[in-house]
Formats: sequence, C-alpha cells, structure tokens
Amino acid sequence: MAAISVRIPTLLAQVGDGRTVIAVEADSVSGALEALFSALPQLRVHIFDETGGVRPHVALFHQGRSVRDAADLATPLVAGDVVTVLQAVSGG
Amino acid sequence: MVTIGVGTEKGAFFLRSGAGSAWDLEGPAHRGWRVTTFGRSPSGDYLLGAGSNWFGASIHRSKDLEAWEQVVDGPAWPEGGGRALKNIWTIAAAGDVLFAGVDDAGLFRSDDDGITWRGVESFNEHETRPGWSPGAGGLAAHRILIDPADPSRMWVAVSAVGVFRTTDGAATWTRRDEGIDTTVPADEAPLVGYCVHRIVADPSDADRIWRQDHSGVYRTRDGGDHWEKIEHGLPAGFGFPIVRDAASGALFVVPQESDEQRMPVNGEFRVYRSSDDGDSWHQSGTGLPRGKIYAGVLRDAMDVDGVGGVYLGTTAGTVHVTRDGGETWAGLPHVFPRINSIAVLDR
Repeated sequence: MAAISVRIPTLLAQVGDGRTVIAVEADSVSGALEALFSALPQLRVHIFDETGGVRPHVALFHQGRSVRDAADLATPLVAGDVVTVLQAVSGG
Repeated sequence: MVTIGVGTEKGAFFLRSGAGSAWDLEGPAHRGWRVTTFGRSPSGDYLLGAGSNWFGASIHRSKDLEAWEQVVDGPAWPEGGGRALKNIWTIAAAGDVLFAGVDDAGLFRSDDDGITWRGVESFNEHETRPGWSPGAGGLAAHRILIDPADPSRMWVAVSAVGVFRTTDGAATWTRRDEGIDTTVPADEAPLVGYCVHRIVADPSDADRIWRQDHSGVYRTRDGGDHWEKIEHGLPAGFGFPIVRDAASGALFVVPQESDEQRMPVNGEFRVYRSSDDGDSWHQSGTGLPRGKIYAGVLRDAMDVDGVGGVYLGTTAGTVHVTRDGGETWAGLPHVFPRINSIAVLDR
C-alpha cells in the first residue's frame, strides 16, 4: 500500500473533521476513496450518488489528470501521489 | 429566550432574543451549504438538513448549535433505483419516532433518535407514485403534520402531488384533496397534481388544517376529507407559507401575485392575518417595509413561537418579526442569503 494524500474541498472538510488533506494508504484511486470513507464515512454520500458513480458535478484528479470515470478509478497509485476531489466548475 | 434558525442558500444562522427587541446573531454554520430545514430529535438534539448542488444532501445534528455532526446513515434512496436524494425538506418528531420528508419525494423514519433512517415503503411506493410529478421547486415531500393526541394519524404534503393521510401509523396512506383546484386542466379530479405549498393544523384539534396551495388558501375541518377555499379579503390566493399562532388562533399568509408572477401584489410586501379561522383576512399590523419589495417568502420560511411571535424570512434575505401576534412588525438589520427556512428552535 502506498502512502498518498487525498485533498478535499472546504465544503467537504466542514462536514468531515476540518482537514482538507487526509493521508491514507491505498494502491488505486478507488482504494484511496475507500480509505477516505473509512476515516470519514460521512463523505461517501457527497462524492458518490445513488447511481453508484461519482456525482455529476464532482471532479476527481490524480496527479493533474481527471479520473472520475469508472475505468480511471482503478488507476494505480505510488507513494506520494495526490488524489484531489474538486467541486466542478458548474455555473456561471 | 427565543432561538430562531435561519436556513439560507449559504448556511445556517441563529438569532437569539436578547434584552428588549435586540437579537444576537450567531453563525453561519455549514457555510456554503444550502440549509433547507430544522428540527429537534426526541432527545432534544438540534437537527438540520443541508444540501449542495455538487455534493448532495444530508442531515446534521448538534447539541449546542455550534458543533455539528453529520448523520452517516441518513435518508438515502437505494443505489440504482433511479431516485436521487436532492434535499431534506422537513424533519418532524412523533413521540420517539422521527420522520423526514425529502426530494425526490419520499418519507423516511428513524426509531433511534435520528442515528439511522429507513424509507417508509407504504408511502414511497404508494399506488399513485407513477403519476407523481414535480413542481417548480422539485418533487418534494415537504411538510409532515402529526396529531399530538394520536401520533398514528399523520398528514404529508407533496409538491406537486397533494396531501396524504395515514390513520394507522404510516401503514397505509390515502390522498386527501377533495375540494382543491388542480393545477392542470382536468375533466374530473385526477389522482394527483395538487400542488400543496404548506399545511398547518390546530394542535388541539388536528383535523382542523389550513392550507396554502398553489391554487389558493383552503381549510378543512375533517382531517382533509373536504376542503373549502377561504380567501375573503386576500389580494391574491397564491403564496407559500401559512402559520397559526396557538395563543390567539390567528392565521398568517403572505400573498403573491399569481403563480406566474410570484411577487407581492403591486410590490407591496404584506402579511395577511385571519382572526376567525380563515373566514376573513386583513393586513397584519404595521412595521413592514413601505417601499416596493419584490421578494417572496418560501414555504418553510415562516414560523411561530406559540405565544404571539411570528418570524419570516424572505428570498431577499431579510427577516421580519412580530412578538405581539401581528400587531407590530420589525425588520432585523441583517441581510442574509436567500432564506429557505425559518424555525423557532427554542422558546
């Protein structure tokens, strides 16, 4: 398992524990999210919706590349990687 | 001391009555989240519904209105079922049971003080469900009335569907909209399509219910079996909130000019009061702004404290208060984001 960081936006940090960067150990993007939910289970409903996929207006990046699609969630991680959860630019 | 929750598009604020007419302001909590409603759990914890166009909706709880904790096992539609939880619109307690009304329209209950929630299948899969369709504000179960004398009797309002009643503790539900004008042309009364905006009951006689509907203001004396329109003296029948001051029995509405305009008639922001159960309506007191105002009051944005206090918040973010049953109104000096909900949390 690689030691990586998950960055989350301020809105989610508010309903989490205040941290915007959470250190977890994971081998894939989906594994990183599961590790995030293990630490902060309340965040699951804010990132995934009832379709089982990432919410339409949530963006996920790994090392600067969008990884929100199901296939990309399997992207492997190495130590020091950063997975970023973003509030997508939806609006004017 | 009275504590008022102000739920806005960008967080929750709290007003506490101080000396004289002063109000202390606290918050915002859930800064940046759309706060849609407030409630109290059977044990006394404060509850609120918060949502976001990006991150969905959830219930949060607090013992002091400062430290909040999200309910992890909150209301949720099954994965892959085609429904999405968009907003928590109302939270109501019936003894030791909590109910929540949500969009997509549905009813959820908690039997453990709001820790875990499950869907009320008898309601959520009601035989009329295939015909349910949303109003402008969504397809929302937004109001729950519970008979204080018999909590097995409840009424749930759904836009744009109608009012459902149970008399057997939520085992079965029947729609109760006879006498209500539908919002769509129909040769005969359709099964659904009644756009109820708000209902309020007499706590001493739960069968007496008043209703601000899309199509006007109504009352029933028999728990919803029959409704009659009561608009004498109102400049318009359209509006969203309706409340009742338990001390005086007075009713309050905020009329708007038609469903197409949705603004105060002629830009005159007025609250109307009825002191005769809705037989007639008159402008409520003095002290509301005299300048032109084209803001409205949403369905959950007016509440009472039971002893003559009426509190309302507008879509323009202003809050107006009367503490004497609607004789005199005063505006607070603050301007909030668009106000979704006003709730008396302590009194």
